[in-house]
Amino acid sequence: MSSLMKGTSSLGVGVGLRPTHFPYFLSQKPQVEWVEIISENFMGLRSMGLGGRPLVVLEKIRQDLQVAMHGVSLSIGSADALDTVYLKRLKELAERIEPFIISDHLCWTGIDGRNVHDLLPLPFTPSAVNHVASKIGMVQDFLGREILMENVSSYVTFSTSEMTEWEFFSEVARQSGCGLLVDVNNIYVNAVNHGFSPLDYLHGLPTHSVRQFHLAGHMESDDILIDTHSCLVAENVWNLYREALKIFGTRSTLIEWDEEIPPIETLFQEASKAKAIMREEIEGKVYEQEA
Amino acid sequence: MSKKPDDLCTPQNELKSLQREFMENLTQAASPVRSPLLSAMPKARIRIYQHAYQLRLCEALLESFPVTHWILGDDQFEALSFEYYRAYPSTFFNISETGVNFPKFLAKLELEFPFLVDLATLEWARVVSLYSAYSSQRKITPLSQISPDVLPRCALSLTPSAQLVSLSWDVKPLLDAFHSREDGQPLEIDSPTFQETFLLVFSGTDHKIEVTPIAADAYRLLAAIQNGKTLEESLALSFEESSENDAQKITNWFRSWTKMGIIEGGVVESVTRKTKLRS
Repeated sequence: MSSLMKGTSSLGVGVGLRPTHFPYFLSQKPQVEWVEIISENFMGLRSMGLGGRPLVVLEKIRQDLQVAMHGVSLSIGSADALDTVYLKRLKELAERIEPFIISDHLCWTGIDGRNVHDLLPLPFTPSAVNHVASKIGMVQDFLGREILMENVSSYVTFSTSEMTEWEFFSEVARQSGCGLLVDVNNIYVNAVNHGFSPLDYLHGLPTHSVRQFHLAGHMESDDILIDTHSCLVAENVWNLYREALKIFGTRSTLIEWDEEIPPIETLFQEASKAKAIMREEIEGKVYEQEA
Repeated sequence: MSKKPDDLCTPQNELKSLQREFMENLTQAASPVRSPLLSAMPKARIRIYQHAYQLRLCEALLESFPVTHWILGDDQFEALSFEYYRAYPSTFFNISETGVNFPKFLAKLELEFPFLVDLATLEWARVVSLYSAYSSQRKITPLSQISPDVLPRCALSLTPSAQLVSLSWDVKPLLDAFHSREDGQPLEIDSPTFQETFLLVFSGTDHKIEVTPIAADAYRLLAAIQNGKTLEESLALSFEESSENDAQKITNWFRSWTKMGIIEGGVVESVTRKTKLRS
């Protein structure tokens, strides 16, 4: 199993590192291979330099675990120019933590220098692809490494869109050379909210660009699904994850939980479930090859 | 007359217009959904973004100002947070930094609790300490390596986590009581007294945020040091006439501040530069 895992550059299953669980990670041997941080929570304040207690804790945890840096404020899709203060701080943090992945979202979070701290959807147009791909190129050049872009959940679409979401996502990867972080839950949520097939989405992505999966919980509200990250991964999302593993092979997979954060054991149980599914898929592939 | 860059119909400007309109809808809860750019979606779907925006920022503010929230209660705190973010929208990458103007915002209101601005000021100082940089960007020499004859002309450097707070109300007991209570336990404490208070907030050796009362002259001395004055200038600003008692007191303060990690060291470069300028 380990050779297959290595061959597909998978670090196995990780969980999101949140302050509630800092005491656990500082005192116990974690039951996961890696953790993912929200980069901005460790980048200090804009008016000051890098530092602060969260970063001190992270550096201790980093001694035992691999870390993925996942941002929420790059705002790659904003019509604004890139924020150079932000980028410098991101690079400084990356040099300090040496993450195995740096990622952010294919979205915008504000305009005219304002940040609404939400992951807002983009119109799926060729000009938006050009705009985003060009900015990703600048970020990758500045950081000197590949970054991953994650698909976001959404509740509205734009009348100006000219392509499907997965065509847009794929084209951004093709033009910019970035990797893809495929959030399986977000695909499912958007499929229900906007009425498309989640399998069409998965099959439409370039296999060689997919680097990581995210899994999270959502809630149902009237006729739509809300991406809340506040509960267990839904059964339909687990099923879609199996399909994703069949199509792309194993990839580092994260259990995300950001609201109403449960005891760490709950996250580990979800991680175990993801590991078991990953193992089943690997063994299935080995069996198929032998047959 | 030539068109301004923002008036030109380029893909970049179309995206900018769309994003401005979307954001206006999102941040102004009462405004109607006007965008022809959005597909025919029920208004309820835009309201998901509006609601998430308000909730997320209110939670961020609550995390930075838990005692202020406790005093005001859920409803009033939530209402104030909406007004606050209308007045001071975020321009920060770290959501925790969005509370920076909250004490200033409260100061403009007529509040039921006169000590609330001071309480929020103290809570914000704790946030700044929590996220403070490892060390200042300047080249610092440890105090022990600075020759005594140079020391008076050195600009000393305080640890970036050191926050000096001057208040009209003694709100520290309230803050202490709130943070030391057991989860879910009711909190009963007397209202803060109207009393000039000077506090030093800093990140301790175990990175726990400490709040220590200091004397008025110690506050003045540290403030002068923080403003880049040399040690002798700082002392002159803090003590009109120095006595033997003062000398002993100051020695004790420095001993204590060095032990607490408040003094990073001295900037010897500043002495060299001043010497060169004089010559």
